[in-house]
Amino acid sequence: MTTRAEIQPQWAMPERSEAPWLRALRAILKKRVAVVCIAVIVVLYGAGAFTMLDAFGIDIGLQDPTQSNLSQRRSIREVDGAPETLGAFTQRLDVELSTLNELNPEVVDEYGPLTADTVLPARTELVLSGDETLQGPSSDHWLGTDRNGRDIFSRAMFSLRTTLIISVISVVFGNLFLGLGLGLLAGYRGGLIDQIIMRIGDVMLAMPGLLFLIVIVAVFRDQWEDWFRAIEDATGMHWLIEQGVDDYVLIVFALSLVGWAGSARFYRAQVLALRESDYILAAETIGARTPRVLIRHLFPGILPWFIVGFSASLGEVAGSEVVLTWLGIGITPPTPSFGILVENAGGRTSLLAYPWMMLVPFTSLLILMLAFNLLGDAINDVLNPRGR
Amino acid sequence: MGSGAVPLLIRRLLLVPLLVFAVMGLTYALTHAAPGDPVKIIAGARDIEPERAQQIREEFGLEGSYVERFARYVWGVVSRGDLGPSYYYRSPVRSVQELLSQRIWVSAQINLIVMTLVFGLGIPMGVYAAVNRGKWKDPTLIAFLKIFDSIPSPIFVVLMAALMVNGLAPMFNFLGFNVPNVWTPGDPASFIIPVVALTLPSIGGTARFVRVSCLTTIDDDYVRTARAKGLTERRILYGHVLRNAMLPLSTVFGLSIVGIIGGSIIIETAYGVPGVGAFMFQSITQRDFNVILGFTLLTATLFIVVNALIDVLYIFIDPRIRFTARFQ
Repeated sequence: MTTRAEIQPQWAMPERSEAPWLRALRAILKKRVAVVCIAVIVVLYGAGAFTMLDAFGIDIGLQDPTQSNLSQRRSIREVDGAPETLGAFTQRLDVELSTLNELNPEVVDEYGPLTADTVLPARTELVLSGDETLQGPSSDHWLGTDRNGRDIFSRAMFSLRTTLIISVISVVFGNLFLGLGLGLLAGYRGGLIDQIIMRIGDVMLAMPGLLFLIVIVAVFRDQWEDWFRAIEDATGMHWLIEQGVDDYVLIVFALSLVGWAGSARFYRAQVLALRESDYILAAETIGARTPRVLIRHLFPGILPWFIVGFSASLGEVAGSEVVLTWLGIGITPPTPSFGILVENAGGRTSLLAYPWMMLVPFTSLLILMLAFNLLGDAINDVLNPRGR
Repeated sequence: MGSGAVPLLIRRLLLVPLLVFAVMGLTYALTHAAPGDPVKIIAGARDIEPERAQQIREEFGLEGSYVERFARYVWGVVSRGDLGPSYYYRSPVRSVQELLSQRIWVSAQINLIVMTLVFGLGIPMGVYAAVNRGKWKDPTLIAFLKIFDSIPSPIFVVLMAALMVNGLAPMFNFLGFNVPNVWTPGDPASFIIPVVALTLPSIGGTARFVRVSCLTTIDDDYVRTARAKGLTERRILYGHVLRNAMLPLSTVFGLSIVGIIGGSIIIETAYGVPGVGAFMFQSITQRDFNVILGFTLLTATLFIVVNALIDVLYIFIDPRIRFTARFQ
């Protein structure tokens, strides 16, 4: 009889092989494009995170993005009982002059086009000087000012905060909790649970995306502020609406509701491929329960795909927020957002007269979207080398 | 293969009415549980006399509980194809299907041109990129197209409009077009801006899709066989690679058929196109819920039906696909 002590393993323990996600990460970091994209995203999101310090009362050296720099002296006429701002006046003037010029080509041919200089009396010049509205880039205002004399650089920084908050929270909520959770569950358990989850997902996916999003936001918008006032009163946190938290929550809610179905379907497909693996069978054989199999065994397996889905959704969600806000139903004005910057800069006359206003939202959004797009591609190349 | 396809077809198509019903229920709940009593929206006032309210209720079919109303609505759609009256256009009262059909036609015209251009340009570009894999041409083309689908659509529309009117319009005018600033009914040149603004961002996606599916087939054994057999590269490309690469594209193609009636909220709103996208956005702000409900129902139904048909068609197109693998 051999004693227990004699049954020592005669082989050395094999060296632990690298986790698949770590291998994938290493391969991703070897790609130059991916590293550049990650750097860009970190810088832009970092800028957004930096402005969050402002909410805690720390001075970050940026001008208040919601503070208008207008003085009453500059009012020129009354509109609806309030003095018209100079910005509004110059814009109105631009529109009227360009219409006049378009209507009278023969006059323009003879005398040249009408400009503000030719139609305004000399004293208007006095009013124009010393005004902070619609200035071009300068040392005080690096990227110029908008129609209300607000610093565009600081508005852009705070817009990044909006993008950061909305995209990260919606994706964590919609893609991670709802999408990944339900996708894992549906793919692993199959049967009735799978049917219920995926059929609800089908219904969601059958709805036209942007329209569905707009309907949700529009329907809840009216009650939302009342609810938040109630929350403010109940908790005593009276900065919620002022900091735009109500808008953030509404948009996050709508985006996650619309977005979870697509990612659930995506993750489910990955799980279906993994479910039959030997290691899952092994885990089940030693008695692992569903949550353990899902979290400890299936999740690491689809983690690389999760990174793909996560980065793709971040870009998509950030874009949707801009669209919603631009349409006038997303973030409401005092809170800065790229959608509002685009809206302010996008009028046909303002775009030509004050092009610097469009420069900021255009370049930052383009760079951010490109970074997400190219990063997704790079990761895809690594994980799915056949498509290269 | 043939034996499995028919029960599958039946199973898929049986699911269609169920899904449509669920979509209808969800949209109805969402739009009619909204704050703001439809009666008040229709009357255009907060305080109305009970008699007037009763009259509106009768006229617009708003008596009874939500469930009764929903049942009546569903019955109207199923039995008469009636999507109900518009809440906003009511002197005289216009039906939703009448309002929608006018606008869908405008959007469909634009989208048909866009679809033709997207596939007509995107497929050759994707093939070109795939053939030139590993050279500078492939990444350059793909990156160039990527820029267009990375620009957020509102900015793209605004820039397109400005560029068109101020930069490119003189060029088009030179060619004999007169590109208007906003949509002008009856002027074919109005199509130019929306069509370009919708086409450019979509080409990239199609080209990438075609490129990837070409690349997945280009290394297959049968392609090597074809090459060994001495076929010309052109024959190999069009006869063997592209034919198989087109398969996954049929899904994209099918879904874009649904997109034809969809309209584009952003571009139509920005350019003043009287299409269904702009109309939807307008209806949402006007709280014209029957219109939203009707349109969602229409597109969702079409989407579900086309999706089911694509899944079934797949089996006929590609005998290698076992339906059990696709629908477990």
